[in-house]
Amino acid sequence: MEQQIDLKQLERKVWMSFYEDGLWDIYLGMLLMAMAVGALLSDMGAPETTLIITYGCLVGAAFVFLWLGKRFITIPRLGLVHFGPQAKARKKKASVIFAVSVLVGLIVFVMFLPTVKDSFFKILPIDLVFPAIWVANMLIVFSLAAYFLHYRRLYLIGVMFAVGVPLDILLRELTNRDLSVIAFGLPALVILVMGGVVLSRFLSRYSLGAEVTLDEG
Amino acid sequence: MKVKKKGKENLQHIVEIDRVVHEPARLLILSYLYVVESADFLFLLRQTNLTKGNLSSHLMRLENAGYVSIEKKFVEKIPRTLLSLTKDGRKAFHEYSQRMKKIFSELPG
Repeated sequence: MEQQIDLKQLERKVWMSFYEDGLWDIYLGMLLMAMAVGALLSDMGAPETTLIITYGCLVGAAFVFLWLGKRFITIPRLGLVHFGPQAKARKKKASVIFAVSVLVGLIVFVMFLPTVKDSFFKILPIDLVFPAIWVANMLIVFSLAAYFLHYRRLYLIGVMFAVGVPLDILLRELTNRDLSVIAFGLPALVILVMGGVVLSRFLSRYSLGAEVTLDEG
Repeated sequence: MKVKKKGKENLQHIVEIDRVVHEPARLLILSYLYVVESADFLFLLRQTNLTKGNLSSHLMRLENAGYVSIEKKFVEKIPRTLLSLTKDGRKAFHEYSQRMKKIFSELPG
């Protein structure tokens, strides 16, 4: 045993091993792609009900993918672990951060309700406020989550989520066309490719063996 | 005289080291189990890079010492061997860690 055992580092290594499957990256990429598909349908003039149903289905599919992936890809290859109190505290912090993010989203939603919007945006320019809130919310939330979860790729994912709205505005200004599908689709594709690469590396590193139990050893 | 007494105390600490914990592979297993609540056999196999037979025999030894609890149960219809540190195991690991720190702090050089 040449290396000194650092328990904090060991705990972090164990925790990190469960993010090395790329499934969370793909899940988040799918969420952003759902927004791109929503934008595409909107451009095609799809009714609001179709938009909501499609978006709901895509978000649901992303969640099912994550759940099935953890169950049938990660656990059979990496084994099962129930994390200790430190990891549970970490998860709790991340949950609080995402809850705050949802709250910010709700506040923004209320701000954009017709009655509120008219009085509120007499003071502030709407074209500036919405992108600013979006970028700040995404960057802060993903950075905090990345920090607390020790999940570094979340910084890049946060940037990819953040650029969607400003890129959309920029493309509209430059081309005079609604290119929301590209503005959200391109960053989503970056996340999906990154997740795919991490997943393929994970699959080649951990082969799927038969169920291993103590009796076999 | 004082130095001689200290050296003797230090030797006593070394003699009192828990040999079940002190063995490198078992120390590694205990370290992993110390930082989680429980884990299955495959997880420990992946993390420690020990062979199946090696891991299995060390776990038996730790179970016999009362340091590790081995529970076989079905998790989502799949048979799993769940391993966790017992209270004694956690205590033994902690005491070992404290003792080793003390020994190294008292060693000359």
